[in-house]
Amino acid sequence: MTAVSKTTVKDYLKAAAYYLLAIAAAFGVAGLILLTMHQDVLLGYKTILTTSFSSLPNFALTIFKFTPIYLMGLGFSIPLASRKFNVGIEGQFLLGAVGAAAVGITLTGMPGYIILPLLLTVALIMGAIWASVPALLLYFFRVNEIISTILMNFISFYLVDLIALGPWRDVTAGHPMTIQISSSARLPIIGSQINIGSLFTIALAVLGFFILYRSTFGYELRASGSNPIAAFKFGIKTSFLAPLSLVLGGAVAGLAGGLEVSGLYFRLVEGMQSNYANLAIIVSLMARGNPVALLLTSFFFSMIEIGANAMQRTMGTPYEIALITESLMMLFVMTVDAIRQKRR
Amino acid sequence: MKEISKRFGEVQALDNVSMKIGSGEIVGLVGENGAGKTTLMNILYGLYKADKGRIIVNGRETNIQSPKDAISHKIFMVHQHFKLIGNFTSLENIILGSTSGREDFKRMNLQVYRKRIEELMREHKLEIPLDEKVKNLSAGTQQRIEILKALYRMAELLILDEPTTNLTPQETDELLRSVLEMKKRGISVVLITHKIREIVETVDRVVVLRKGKLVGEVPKNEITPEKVVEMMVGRKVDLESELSNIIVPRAPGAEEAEILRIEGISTTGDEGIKLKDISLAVRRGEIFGIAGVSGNGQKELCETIMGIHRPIKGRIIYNGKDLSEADVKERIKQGFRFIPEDRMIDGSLPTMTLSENIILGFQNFEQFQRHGFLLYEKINESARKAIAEYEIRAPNEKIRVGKLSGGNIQKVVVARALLLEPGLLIAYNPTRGLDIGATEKILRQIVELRNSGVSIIMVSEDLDELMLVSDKIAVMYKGEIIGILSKESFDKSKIGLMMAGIREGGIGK
Amino acid sequence: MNYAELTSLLGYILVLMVPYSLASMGIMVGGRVGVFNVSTEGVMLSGASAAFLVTYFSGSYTLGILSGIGVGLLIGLMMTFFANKLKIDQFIVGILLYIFATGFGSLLYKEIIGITLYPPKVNLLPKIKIPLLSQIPYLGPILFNQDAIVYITILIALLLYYLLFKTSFGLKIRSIGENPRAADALGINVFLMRHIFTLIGSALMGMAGAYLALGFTGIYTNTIVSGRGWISIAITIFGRWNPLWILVGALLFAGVEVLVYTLQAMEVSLPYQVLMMLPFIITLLILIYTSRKAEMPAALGKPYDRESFEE
Repeated sequence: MTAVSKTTVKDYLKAAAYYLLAIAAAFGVAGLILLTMHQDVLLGYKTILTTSFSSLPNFALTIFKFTPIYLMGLGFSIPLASRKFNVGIEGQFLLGAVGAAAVGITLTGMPGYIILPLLLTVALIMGAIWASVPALLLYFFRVNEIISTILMNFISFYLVDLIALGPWRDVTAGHPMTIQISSSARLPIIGSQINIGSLFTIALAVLGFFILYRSTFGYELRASGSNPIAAFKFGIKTSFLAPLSLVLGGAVAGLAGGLEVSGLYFRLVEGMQSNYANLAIIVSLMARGNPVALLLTSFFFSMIEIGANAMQRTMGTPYEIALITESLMMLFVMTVDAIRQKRR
Repeated sequence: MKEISKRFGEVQALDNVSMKIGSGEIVGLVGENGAGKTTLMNILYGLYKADKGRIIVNGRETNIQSPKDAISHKIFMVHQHFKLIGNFTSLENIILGSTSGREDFKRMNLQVYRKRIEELMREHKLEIPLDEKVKNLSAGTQQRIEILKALYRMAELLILDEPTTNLTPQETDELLRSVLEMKKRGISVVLITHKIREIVETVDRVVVLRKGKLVGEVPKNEITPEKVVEMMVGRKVDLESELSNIIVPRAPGAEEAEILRIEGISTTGDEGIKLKDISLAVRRGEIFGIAGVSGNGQKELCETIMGIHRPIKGRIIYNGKDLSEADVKERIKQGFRFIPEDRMIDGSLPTMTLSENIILGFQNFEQFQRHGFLLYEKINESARKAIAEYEIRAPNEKIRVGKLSGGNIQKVVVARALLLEPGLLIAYNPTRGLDIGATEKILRQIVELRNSGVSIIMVSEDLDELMLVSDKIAVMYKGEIIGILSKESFDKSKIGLMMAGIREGGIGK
Repeated sequence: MNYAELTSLLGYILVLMVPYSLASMGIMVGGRVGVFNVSTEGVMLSGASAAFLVTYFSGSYTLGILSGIGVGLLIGLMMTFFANKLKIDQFIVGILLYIFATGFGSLLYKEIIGITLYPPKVNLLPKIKIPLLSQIPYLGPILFNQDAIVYITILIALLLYYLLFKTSFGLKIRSIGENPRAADALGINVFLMRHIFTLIGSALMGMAGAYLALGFTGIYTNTIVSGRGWISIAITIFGRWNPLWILVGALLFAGVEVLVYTLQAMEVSLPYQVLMMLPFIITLLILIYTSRKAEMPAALGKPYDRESFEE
């Protein structure tokens, strides 16, 4: 028994070392790019790795980024369990934001304990509805979800533009955005810096883990992802579960949008989705869809984001370098996996 | 081939194997599943690279890197799973890859190709429809296409891997006749098989492999099936007498209660073969065998009984209850168990653990969950028991099933089907790909299950095996049951004729 | 609307057909050897960025288009390495390369041009009037007064059609997308062909992006592709992985897009955002329409490993 556990510990350490190597390789490529741009590479690394911890506001900022990235990552992870790629988290996030803004703007004079849950529920439902279009297309017509969810993203961009320039438009702003939501619809702040929305991530990580890895529902979902034909022949309704997982993922992404409106922007702003969706996809893949591991990868990437923003401010390094590094990181991690598998 | 060795991961698939093939000679390459027969030939054909060893063709040492090299040395292999493109016509399949260089980019002149193939068809008496898409053709026809592919490339050495698997006994005879015909024209043939009896008459020599090692060669005049099987397995085996010893005989006429009754089932054919008005009854403690050339509706019938497909008409009655409307989950709850056709394609969850595989279909059972959450302790315990009982070679129950070998995955699939008292077991090729030891064990378990009163529907491509254990055999042809025989009237050639669609006492539809 | 306006509008359909059909043909040639490359949108952006920069500084359209193709090859090299050599899930690699290429294209432009108030411009590719043919009333000015890439695109489609469906080389290529194991057993070099056609496919996507910058907008922005790459995937499915049908699908979508611009210019009562959604909604409808009879290469999206276990 002890022999077995010893080898597994050794295996884990070995795997960890390989992954660190992959991450280092991605940073190495980033360094090369910085070199060609005549930038101070070492200062770049230092900025990326330490900015988040350099001050409390910076740490709070990291958490602000972490929340939507984590939740959208979870929105990608749930369908991933059934091998469906929910690339539409971006649109689902935006629709959640639209729903939250609508509730927050129209319902005034209500106490926070009524309006806040309502706002978040509406955000959740809006995200789910947006995801249910590709889900229905998958269920009835077997339309590939990658393409359909992406198309829904583009539709959502124009929808947000329409609303941000519509009757709720903030005419004083130079950028398309709505007026602010009522003050009771805003999330409270704890400790003067940290937004309460981030607590949702911990709760959902635990919940998500138990649902995916301990419940019969999660079992059936993972079975459909592992081998849909076998799952189907043993009575699992795969053709229903996969679309359902998309809807659930959409709901979580929608919640992320609601939290952004209620906790950060206090309104609907065009472009508020930033590039969270791309990051969320990478962190989810890197966490292998595991909601707990996702906490780690999301935080790591939020850190890189804050660092990259700081680099843009202080060193004039274009932010895109972060995006390149992050996608390479995941490609290298998978390379490590592929090579290790071949060796075996 | 000299001193060929090959490893797959931790498995030594071939260990220092040498063999010779003479010109115009028919060699039987025999061994159990996993003995390395196909691997050896795949190396000769350039599909696998040997870790060690040499290949000598016509007296010259040759480096065969790919099938292209093999074909240029006039070696051609027909695999057990035909390498045909379903969406292409027979003609396209035959000429595919036979051109090179500048000819590749010229407009194809199908008429020229057609003439040559038609000549070959006449010469070798191999008839096929040239303009039909291959996916619509029968296994026998597809095999003829494969052989024509070889002849079209003027092969001098033809390797046939388990060529009789999907054929009726009569089609097998026909195939062996054309093999003899090729021998007359100076073509050498290697027949890979684990069914020695079928090829005894045809081969000039038999080469026996066991667990990747060459065991020996037997010249034509010394071949007896018993001797070869003993060489294959490494000990005396008499599956027949061992199993018949444990089968509790039934007095004819003293019929047990009916467990399953199927009344007039028909399907649309969307899922494969269309079932036509199938009726049958399975009694308590009975093994109900289903024979037929694969692809005649056996799979669809099994899956319809399991509730995977909905029939357009007909009823399924189990223990007096009408389950026609019940879904798979409900049928599993009622005691239906299933060993599906292909452990890889529809039998296992490769990225999930052995434990999680063992409970597939039972995840909602009281034993394994409470309030929608799985009881992993109990599940792991069941899995550990199964590992011990079925001698599954796995380090622990938490290993991903995709990492196990094919034979061990099959054991997982069988262990699952027998985990919680089955009422009706539907077993599709339960011994597929297992060695004789494991085959014997599983057949023994199935027979014991029968003796204890469980009803079993068993489909097998191995007619001998089926005749050995079944109480009744139904023969399927083109989605119909063409006849049902009971044990006392089993007869191989009769069943063979029925498999070809010829009804007892007359020509079928 | 007068005659001149109408011909210029219809001419625009042919211009817009180019990026759609080049990108779709890029997806198609990969698919024919079993590789589903969904990085299209990103590759197009990178191609547009590189092509714009090179043409802006060198003044050469040829160099611009070639650098678009070059960037396509570069990302194609990554695609084929990760998907065909390492056999990592094609969709995951495709999505990651889409993200990578989006960042890459945008970085390239930002680093070289920087952020400017008014984006720098290049003149659009010159139109080539084909003598006599362009004189044909009505059709002439539309069909035979286009830039070189329009003609080249149609030639590429015809060439690919001939190659894939009329030669025995094409038979080999298609057999790889249908059943790589069978193709391999016949001595067809599956690995080499997968590498080559993944590269060609990606190069075509890069060329599509290059054309967007040089033949359609004349400037580069980060929204220059705005979904056309994803729509091209739908066009490929709609076009049944056949170059000629892809041309038809590309024309259709170019038509929809021109219609959207026209309606916008005519100031119809619909908000412009709703009009802009139209192409995407129509794409979804087309995906539904093609779902029932979608013909795909049978081995599409599946990695091929010769020594993997087969049962």
